[in-house]
Amino acid sequence: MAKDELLEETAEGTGYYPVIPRIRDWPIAKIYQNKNDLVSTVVDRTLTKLTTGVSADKLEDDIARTYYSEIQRIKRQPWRVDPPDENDFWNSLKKDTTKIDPGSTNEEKKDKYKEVIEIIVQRYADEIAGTFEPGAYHFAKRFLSFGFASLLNAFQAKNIKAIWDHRIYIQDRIKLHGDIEKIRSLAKKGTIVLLPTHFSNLDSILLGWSIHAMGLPAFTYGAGLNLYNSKPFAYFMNRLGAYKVDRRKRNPFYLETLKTYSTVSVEKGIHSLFFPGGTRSRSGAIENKLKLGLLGSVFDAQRNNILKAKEEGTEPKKIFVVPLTMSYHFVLEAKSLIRQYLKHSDKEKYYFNRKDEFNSKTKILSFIFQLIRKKSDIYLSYGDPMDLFGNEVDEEGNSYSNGKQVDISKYYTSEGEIKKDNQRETVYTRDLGELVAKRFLKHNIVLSSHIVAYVAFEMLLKKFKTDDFYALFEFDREELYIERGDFLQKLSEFQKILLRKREQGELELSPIFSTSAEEIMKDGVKNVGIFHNNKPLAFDENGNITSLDLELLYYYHNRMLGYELKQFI
Amino acid sequence: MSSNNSFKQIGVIGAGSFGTVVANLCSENADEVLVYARSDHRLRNFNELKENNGYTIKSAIRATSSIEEITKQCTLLIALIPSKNFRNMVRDFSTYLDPHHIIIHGTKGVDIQLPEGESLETIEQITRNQIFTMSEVIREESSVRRIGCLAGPNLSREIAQGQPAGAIVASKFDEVIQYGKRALNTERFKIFSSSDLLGAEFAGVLKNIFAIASGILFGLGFGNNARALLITKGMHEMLHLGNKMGAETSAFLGIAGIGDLVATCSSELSRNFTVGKRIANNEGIDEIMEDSSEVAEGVRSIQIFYHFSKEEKISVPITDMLYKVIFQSKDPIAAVQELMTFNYSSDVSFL
Repeated sequence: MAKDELLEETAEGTGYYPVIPRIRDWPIAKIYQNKNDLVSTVVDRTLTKLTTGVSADKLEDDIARTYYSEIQRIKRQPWRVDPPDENDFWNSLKKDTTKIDPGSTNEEKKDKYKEVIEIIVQRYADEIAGTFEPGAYHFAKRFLSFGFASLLNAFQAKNIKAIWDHRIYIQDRIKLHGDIEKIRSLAKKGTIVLLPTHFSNLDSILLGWSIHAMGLPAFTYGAGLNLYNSKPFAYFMNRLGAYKVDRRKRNPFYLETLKTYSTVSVEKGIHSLFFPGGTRSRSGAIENKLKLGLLGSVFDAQRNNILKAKEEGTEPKKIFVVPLTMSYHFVLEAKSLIRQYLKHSDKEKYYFNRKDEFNSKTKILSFIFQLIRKKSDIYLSYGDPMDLFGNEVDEEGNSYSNGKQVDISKYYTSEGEIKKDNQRETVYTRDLGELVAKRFLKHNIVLSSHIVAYVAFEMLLKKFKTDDFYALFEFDREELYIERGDFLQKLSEFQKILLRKREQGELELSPIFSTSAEEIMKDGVKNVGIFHNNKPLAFDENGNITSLDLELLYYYHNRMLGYELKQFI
Repeated sequence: MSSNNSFKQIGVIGAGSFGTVVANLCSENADEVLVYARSDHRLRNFNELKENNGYTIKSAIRATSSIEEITKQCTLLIALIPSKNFRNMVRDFSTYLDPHHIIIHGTKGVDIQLPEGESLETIEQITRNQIFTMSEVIREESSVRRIGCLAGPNLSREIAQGQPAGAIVASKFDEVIQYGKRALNTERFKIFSSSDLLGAEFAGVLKNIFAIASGILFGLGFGNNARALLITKGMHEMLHLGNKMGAETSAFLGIAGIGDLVATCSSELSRNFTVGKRIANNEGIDEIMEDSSEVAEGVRSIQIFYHFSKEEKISVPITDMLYKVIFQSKDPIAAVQELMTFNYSSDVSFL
């Protein structure tokens, strides 16, 4: 088959025909075909932002600081992925800067500094930019039936066959919720920005699969540069439309380049995925504080699209935000995440001295097998798509507020003109962040294990009359149990509370909630953190509820924070 | 009057006393001020008699009953209507409102949404989710996002006389604050700014409760020591309630909080103060409400925040007593005595 003719296939068992059949026609493929255009737009814009209205002295200072921080990074945190010429690059840059004649005018100096900054920004933009090769995508997807092929390096050759054999079951395990048809329709009308919750590194695999399963073209997303340290993985990541994010680089030149890169991709119509929490939830709670930096760049993109359409006399390309809450019974990295959380929440009286078990490839593998073998549900709950201002949209992409169609360019308008007002857009960004956090809770599909962990942990606190998690460690394991009858009683109360909350649209529930409290308890205790060596919850010989790992229990319990349930314990 | 910085048109929604005074202020900064009024009576006052509620109407002011006209002509709308009618007003306007509109409201009351069949008389507890500030009502009922609140010691009569006064415009948007300043700042009326919208709204709402209490003390013939005690302890309750509603402490220490509290607790010009005075004279609340031409927001706020304090289980002894006096016919003197024996934990506990 000619490379141009590579066709996306309907994912097995889903019935969603690809929105755009020819991979070559996908926005991501088209844009990355002219990657140089993309990069040069990013460089031009970043340079303008960084240097307009800034004095020569300030630019000189910025360059010096960047130089210093980069030299420090090279010395202190070298990575395999770093190019070998880094030292030379920065040192020759320094030479160029110091060569500037101190007697020249401010104008002349500024021009020189701009040249230097352009070189830096160009280097950053080249590094950040990804590519997209339909062939590689096709191969990766076929090979693994996953869209993103993230964590590819986790699988050893001898095990791939095993996964392949079980592939057919993936559709049965991963359930998609929400108005998928609307999202598919909007993907043709405008640009989708997908904002998922983030609990596990495996989320990107699930997301890649679900995007493919929904018949959507590939999304771009920022992948940590550290992932590129592994060569086979880097090979695919480089070709699948991910762009690179280096968390070591915190200088303003880099951050501005990164933000502009994201703006330009969204503007050009590449569907994008951000984890708005920034990083995996350490506590196990659904994110309520979102990182607004990247979210803000979307408002830039929408404004630019409106201005451009005005010039051309066309309809502006709209951006649609889709929050997504993922639910599963266990998080592979739960133990290390909750420890990091406890360490950072300045509770030093509790001392951790156990070996970190994470980062093991066999763990990840056996997790995948567990996932496939055991009937443990995974839900991806897609929230209602909305515009950047939180308005609902119809399948055509029209925005509605209180039943009235809204022209979103009016949000950018003052005195009859579309104007850039950073402060105004900061407020819009903050409001959108708050709304997305609320939607995470609203669309969250509560599983038996979530509520069982919540109730058990809170009952333990109550039993020992404390609000302090650490106090629980003072008790012997034999004491740390809850009578089965008491537990069932409480759980049945919570079942009613949750059903009422669902009625009021505050959350979603998995089907088991329409059975009895007894069923919920059995299913929850069996499934909560099913994969861990020490189960967060188990039945003791008397049938009472006990915990073999309080940290994990705390972690899974945190999932239900945000619903103000404590009052009912 | 108009300078380069002045508006072509400013819209004022609400044709009561405060609406009239604000329209007059705005007329110094705009070519035309459009006042939205519904009744023929008000329209005639504004457009023909050029006098409303005893205030002279400046020439640049014109009243209209057309929502379409006022929303089309004016980007900036200043809403000054009672909290009870606010939601319906926004609903009426909603079709004509767009995201480019800027609304600054000066309403010192809240909106409540109770379950079907319930009313303020029947309900026992009110949760935060059932209480809406005016900015929350605007957000919910329209596509307008750029919202601000005008708050502070604004006794209409004194402003109309051209006495020095000030207020704050609070908004999350700098742009809204700038609009508010341009529209309302005059030589004798000074506009300050704040980014704490919710704080300004609740400060304005809650102080009315204590204005009524102050009126009662005055009516009973008590002097300034008692009033000072009330203002100080009232401030605590305001903070207590405000924080529970999600507002920051700082707003209560500014013009919208302590500033407005002192003014309304001391002035016989204040409607809420007057209500308190009449209560002390053993007039029934229905009677008082019936013949006051303008709504005293405080009475409704006492009802709402009494029920809210029950839900939140917080101690607000003054609000408690006011509720008992007004709605449970408790004797005002007995109420004051009871308050004097209330066991406050310490003098200042909020800082």
